[in-house]
Amino acid sequence: MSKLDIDPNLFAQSGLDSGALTILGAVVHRPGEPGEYRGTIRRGKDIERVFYLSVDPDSPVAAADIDLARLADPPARGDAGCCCPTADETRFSVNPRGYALFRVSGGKGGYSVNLRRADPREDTPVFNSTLLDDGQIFSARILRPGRYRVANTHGRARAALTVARPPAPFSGYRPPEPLRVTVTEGGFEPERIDLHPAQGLIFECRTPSRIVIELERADEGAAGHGGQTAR
Amino acid sequence: MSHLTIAASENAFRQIFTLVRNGFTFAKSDSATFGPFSASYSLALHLEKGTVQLNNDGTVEIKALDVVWDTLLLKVCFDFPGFTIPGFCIIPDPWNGCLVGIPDIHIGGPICIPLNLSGLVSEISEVRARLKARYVVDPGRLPTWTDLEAEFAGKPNMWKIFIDPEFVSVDPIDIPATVGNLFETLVEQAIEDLLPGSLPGFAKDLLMALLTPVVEIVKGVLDVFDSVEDFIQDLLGDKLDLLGIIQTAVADHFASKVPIYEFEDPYPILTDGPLIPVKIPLRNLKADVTSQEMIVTGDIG
Repeated sequence: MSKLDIDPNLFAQSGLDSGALTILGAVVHRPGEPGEYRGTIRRGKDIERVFYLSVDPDSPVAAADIDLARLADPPARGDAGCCCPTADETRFSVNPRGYALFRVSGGKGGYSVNLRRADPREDTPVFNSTLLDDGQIFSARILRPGRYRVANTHGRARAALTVARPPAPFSGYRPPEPLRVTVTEGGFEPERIDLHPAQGLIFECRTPSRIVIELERADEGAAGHGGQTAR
Repeated sequence: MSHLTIAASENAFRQIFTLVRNGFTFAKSDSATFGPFSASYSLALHLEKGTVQLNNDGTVEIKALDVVWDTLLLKVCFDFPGFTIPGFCIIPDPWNGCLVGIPDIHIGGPICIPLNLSGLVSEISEVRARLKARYVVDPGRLPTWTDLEAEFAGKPNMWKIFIDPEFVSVDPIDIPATVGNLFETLVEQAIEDLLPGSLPGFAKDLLMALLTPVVEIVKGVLDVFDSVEDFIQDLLGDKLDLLGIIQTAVADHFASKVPIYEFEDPYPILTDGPLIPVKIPLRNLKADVTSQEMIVTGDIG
C-alpha cells in the first residue's frame, strides 16, 4: 500500500519566525485605509512574487486569505507544467474593516510580506511583516513537544514556552482553544506559555515586534506513542 | 400403465444425493464499488452434510446443508478520511463563528483491509425440489448420425434425472465477533502503515493521537450502523450478493449440472456377443418420489 504524501516541512520545522513565515505560522494585518495596494512576497531579500490587494469599502470580503506559498511557489499545472499564477490569482480584495491573512500552505516557506499603496504617498503607512505593530497578529502552531525560547528580536522581551506530548493513539485528541499572548514594550504577557501539541498560539503585537520561537530542548519522551491524557 | 418402472429406496436416494452433493464445487472472484468504499473477493466452496426427506407430494426436502468456504478472501478499500491537524480561530466574528482563522491541515489516503475468512461454515437451511427427467442430445452429436453411430462415437442421447429445486434458502453468513475485532486491528495497522517511515516519532504520535477510535472511523467511512461483524455480513451477503450467487450455483448444480441418474437412449439391453448391441428406445421418462422411495417410469418404443 502506498504511503501518505506528507509535506516534510510540516514536521521538519520546529522553530518559527514571524518575519519568515513557514507552514506553521501566519500573520494577520488590518489594512484600514481604502485604496489599491501592491504587495511583494520576499524570501530573504529576494522578491518572489507581486500581488495586489484592493481595500474597497464595497468589498464583501471580511478576510482575504493570501496563501504565500501558492503565489510564490505554485504547483505545476497541466502538461505544460506552467506554474505561474494567473492575473486573477494575484488579485485580492478586502473590506477596510476586514483583515488580510498571510499564511503558507506548504513547502519550505521563509516568506515575508511588504504591502504599500500602489500610488505611494508619504503619509501612508507601509506594512512589513518583519516588523509587526499596532495590533497586528502573528499566529503559530507548534507540533513538536519540548521546551522553546520565545523572543521579540526588536526588543528584549523573552518568554518560555513548553509543548506537551500528545495523548495515546486513537484518543480523538483535539487541541484546546488557542492561547493569546500580548506583546508590549514591557514584554510578553504571559511570560510562561504552556501549550498542548498543535494548539494555536496568537501573538498580538502592540509594540514593534518580530517574534522568533526556537526549540531549546525536544521532549522525545519514552519510546513509542505518547501517553498523556490532556485534552 | 408404464412399460418400465425403476425404484430406489429413500436410503438409496440419500446415497445418490451424497454423490451429487459431493460433486459440487464453486469458485469465483469479483469486485464492486459502493460509494465510499470498494470491495473485492475471491472464494471457493463446497457442500457438506444435509438431511434428505422424500415427501408424498412429490417433493424432496434437503435441510441443514453446510456451505464450507474453503477460500473466502475479502478486501475492503476506502479513502481514509485522514489525519487532521485542526486549525483555530484568530479573530472571532461576534455574529458568526470565526472571521479570520487558520485552516485545518488534512492528510489522507486510500487504505485496503485484507480479511481472510477461509474456513467459515454457513448453511443452506432448505432446498425444496422435485425430480425432473430431461432428454439431452449430446451437443457433439452430428445431425446425420444414427443412434448406433452416436454410440460408437461415445455421444449417445441421454435421459437424465435431476433434483430440480423450486427454491433454495441460504442463511446469512454468520461472521463471528472475533472477525470484527480482527478487522479493527487491521484498520489500525493499515493506518499506521500509511505513515512514511521517515516521519519523526513525535509526528506519528501526534497524528495517531488525533484519530478517533478506529471503530468510529470505520463506522463513519463505511456507514456501519451497528457492528463491524454485521457490516461484513451485509457486505458479503447483500452488497456482494454472495447469498444470491450461492443460491444460483446450488440450484444450477442440482437442476442441470449433475443428474442423480442417467439412461442412454436407446437403452442397451444386450451388449455381450459378437453382434452390435440390442437397444430399446425409452420414451416418456418421468421421475417422482413418495415418502418411501424414488420411482422412475417410462415407455418403451
